[in-house]
Amino acid sequence: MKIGSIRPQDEFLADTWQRVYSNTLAAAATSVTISGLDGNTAEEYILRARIINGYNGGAEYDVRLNNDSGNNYGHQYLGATNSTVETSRNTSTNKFYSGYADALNQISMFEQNIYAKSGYIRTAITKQMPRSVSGTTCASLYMFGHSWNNTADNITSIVVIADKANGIGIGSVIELYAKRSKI
Amino acid sequence: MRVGKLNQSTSGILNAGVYQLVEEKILTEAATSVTFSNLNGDVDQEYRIIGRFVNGYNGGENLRIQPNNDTGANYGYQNISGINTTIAAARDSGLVSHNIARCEALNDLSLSDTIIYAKSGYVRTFLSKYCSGISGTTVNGIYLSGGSWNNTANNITSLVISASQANGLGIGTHLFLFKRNLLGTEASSGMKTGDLNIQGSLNCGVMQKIYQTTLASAATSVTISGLDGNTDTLYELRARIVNGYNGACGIYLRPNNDTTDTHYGGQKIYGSDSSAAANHNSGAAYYFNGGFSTLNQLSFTNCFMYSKSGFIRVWINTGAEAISGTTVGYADLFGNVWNNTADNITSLVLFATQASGLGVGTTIELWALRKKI
Repeated sequence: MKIGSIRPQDEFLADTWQRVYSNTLAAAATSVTISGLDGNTAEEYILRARIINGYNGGAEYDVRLNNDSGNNYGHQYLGATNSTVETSRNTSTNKFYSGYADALNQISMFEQNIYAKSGYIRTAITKQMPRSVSGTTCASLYMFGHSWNNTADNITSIVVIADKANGIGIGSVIELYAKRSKI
Repeated sequence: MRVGKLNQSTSGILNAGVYQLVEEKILTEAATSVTFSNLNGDVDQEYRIIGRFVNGYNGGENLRIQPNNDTGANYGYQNISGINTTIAAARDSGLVSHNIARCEALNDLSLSDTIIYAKSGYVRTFLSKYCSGISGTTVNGIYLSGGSWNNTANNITSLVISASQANGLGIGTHLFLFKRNLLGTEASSGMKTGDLNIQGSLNCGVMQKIYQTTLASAATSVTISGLDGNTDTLYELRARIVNGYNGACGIYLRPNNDTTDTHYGGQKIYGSDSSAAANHNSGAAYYFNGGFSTLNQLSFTNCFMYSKSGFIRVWINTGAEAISGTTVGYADLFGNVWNNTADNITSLVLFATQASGLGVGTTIELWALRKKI
């Protein structure tokens, strides 16, 4: 069927990625919760964020699934700061470590692919590129592989958290894309 | 409402919260720069540029992006790269552009994927990955790069893609510009519809999932057939693989099931525990992912490929591998090449190096670019 421009007002199921959440913060926050999700149906999510540091100092940005704050996560990263290559593994942490900014108003941008369907441990890949951006200085970048060892629970929420009060500053943009399969 | 195939008009906009191809450029003569114009970054907010560059210059060059053709010293980057067995990091600031690709010699290739946060109000940011200097079965380098443009005020109305050397954008260079579209409930133009449940091809300039399987029994290979790489041009292969073999196992990707290992090559960087390294492989089979060591470990890999014939075929993989419980064995980035320039890709085969290596629960998806027709 030939169509022109369209604007579906309801569900759009077409085996594509669709933005299901978008938030540009008008006030600083310490956490942002994306709720009402169904990870078993979506199967995969892409979380994309451009965070403005709202804290007057270094702030870390993390992601938790279903707000699970237990030490049920792990990661392996590969990173770069100036001319130094860094890599490390952590097998007992309480988050997907997803971004960082050194100082107030610096920018941290990340893209996170999450395999969300239950039945197996959940996996994710995060590209933190760039971090601690100010003017023409991009202080570092990192690529992470993550795991969350929960095999059973449907993911119904994704929480983006700053480790400092109001670390997710005004102007921060957080968006979630879900896979929308035809039925 | 269930509908079959949708084919959108050339000027049609799919206001459904998707990324949509707004323009592509295929160079029929060499150029030093090309421009995507008539943009509105403040409305679009984000762009994605995919480029398969052909070097039109007889030597090394960088391929760059400059919003609004700004050639001032207003850009910076931090990158990590792998060239042969050397992994390295670099940062610079006060530059005149952001590099999104690199070629090393006349007629070699580079494949690039860049996300741009375009809305004004803050420094604009770039997120790029690219493999460079690709010729025959050699991928010279692989890069991750984060960049910035320090202009906070000006609406982005154009994106200029340029070569650092004259006529460096050679014949066959192919560029795709995607933009972030509004949701239907946010848009003020276009025909309103209710729910849509598309059963057929969505020929609207979007990436659409065209194949999905979840293995109910272990397999040594999975073949995705019935493809037309020359029409589709871009594929994204996404897989969450469960190791079905009781030991170390790797997974190859073979277009058209070409089993001649010497037709492939690649370059990779990876981190494993406290070790970072780079690997180079030319004229030998190269892994789609290769990090399993024990039964039931997982890997999660995203791969995008330029599939059209005429030049050697290239793809980039991003992966997390050898995952068990809260242990992630590897984080890695691969650039890969298949030296076949002629054959249309009609199938993609994921092949385990050990019997039944694709275990129960493995999920494999292929997404293809569905252009307007």
